Amino acid sequence: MLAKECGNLVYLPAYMKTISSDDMQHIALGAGSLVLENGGETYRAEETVVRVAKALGAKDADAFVTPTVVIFSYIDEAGHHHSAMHRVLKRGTNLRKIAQVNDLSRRLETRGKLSNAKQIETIIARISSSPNYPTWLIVLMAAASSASFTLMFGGNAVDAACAFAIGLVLRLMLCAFDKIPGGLNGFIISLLSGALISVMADLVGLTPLHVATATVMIGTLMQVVPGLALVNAIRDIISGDLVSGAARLLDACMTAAGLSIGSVTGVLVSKGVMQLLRAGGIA
Amino acid sequence: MTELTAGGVLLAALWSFGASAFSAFYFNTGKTDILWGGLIGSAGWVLYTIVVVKTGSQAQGYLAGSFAVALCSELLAVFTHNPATVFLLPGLLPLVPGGGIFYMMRSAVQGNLSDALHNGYTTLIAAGAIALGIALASSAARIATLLRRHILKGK
Repeated sequence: MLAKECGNLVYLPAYMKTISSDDMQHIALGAGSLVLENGGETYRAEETVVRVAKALGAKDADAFVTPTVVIFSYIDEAGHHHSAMHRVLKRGTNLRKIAQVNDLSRRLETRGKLSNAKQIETIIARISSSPNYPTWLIVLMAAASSASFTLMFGGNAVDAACAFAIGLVLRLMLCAFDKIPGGLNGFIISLLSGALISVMADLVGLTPLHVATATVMIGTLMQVVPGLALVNAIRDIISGDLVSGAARLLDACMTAAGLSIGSVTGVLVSKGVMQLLRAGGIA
Repeated sequence: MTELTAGGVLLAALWSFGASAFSAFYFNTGKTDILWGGLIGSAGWVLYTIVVVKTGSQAQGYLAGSFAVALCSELLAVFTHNPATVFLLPGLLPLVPGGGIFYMMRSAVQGNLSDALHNGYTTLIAAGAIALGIALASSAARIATLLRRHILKGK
């Protein structure tokens, strides 16, 4: 066999080069949108697309990335102009996938055109379907992080225990929404999260435990508030990616609006229920 | 916290370590990177607390904290061959003004415009200071890499 196994990529002699222009386009777009979909910065996604394309033989490559789209155009070895676009519908944070794509693009840079297109595509597919931690562990850790945030903001042990319980329910709900095929609208998800948190925090406040409701609420909210999104928006604007910075700013504001509308509605509902109970002479 | 005590700082370090490390789990970070993310987040939050108590300025605290977080992430990125983002995002979590943007929108929804403006202003200042700290650190890292390459080539 001519092919020599080395890591996951196979070296082939130059005359057996198998990367066509179409393959290169597919691979570069796939790598770039993986970075964007999993919480990478705009400049990182652009760099990844251009780096991969150049490593695989594009003469002149340019990428334009906003939070919802990856646009990529290049000139191939024969001098023809091409461009391609990939729409990004779902965004999350998965740092392991970013690290893997980074690793792949570095390896491509050093091996260059001698790689086999089929294998690179298999690696990209494997990265995009690589497993998360088990759901029960994620739910438990998210609850623990809510408890830690509550303690960090000056809550006591009872507040932390309440935040743990509410954070657990919140993450369970979010994981259940993830299972819905096609996904639920992001705004609706934040609306429901805000309502859930405020109703549960009010419920905990009714018990004779003397819980600091506001601290519990903000500690639990830290799982879903768009703080990182806001900071990333300003970072994009500072580094000159004005379009994607403005889009991320709007995204952060919309998520916060959903959470606050949800929580205000939640407060109104729990107040109304209390009044009904009082009118009925139960509480 | 209005006064610095050894116990208070130690507790702040502990809770912020927990907050960053546990959050790194649902960001699906690799197992050793979770530890680093927690340590960096803890360092950033402790620095923020100390600077805020000493100078009384929130913005300076955010700037110092995020600069430290970003610088540590860039250093770790060099040593572990991972992108800096893997350490930066969990490390920033204790600092980011998530509560501020929520309170801003909540005041706006409740029709309390002056509160909304006040919260929005402080949130924007905090986010700006944090982003500036990161930009400074990553530019410093880029210059250091260039210098290192230059020196190595010169030899």
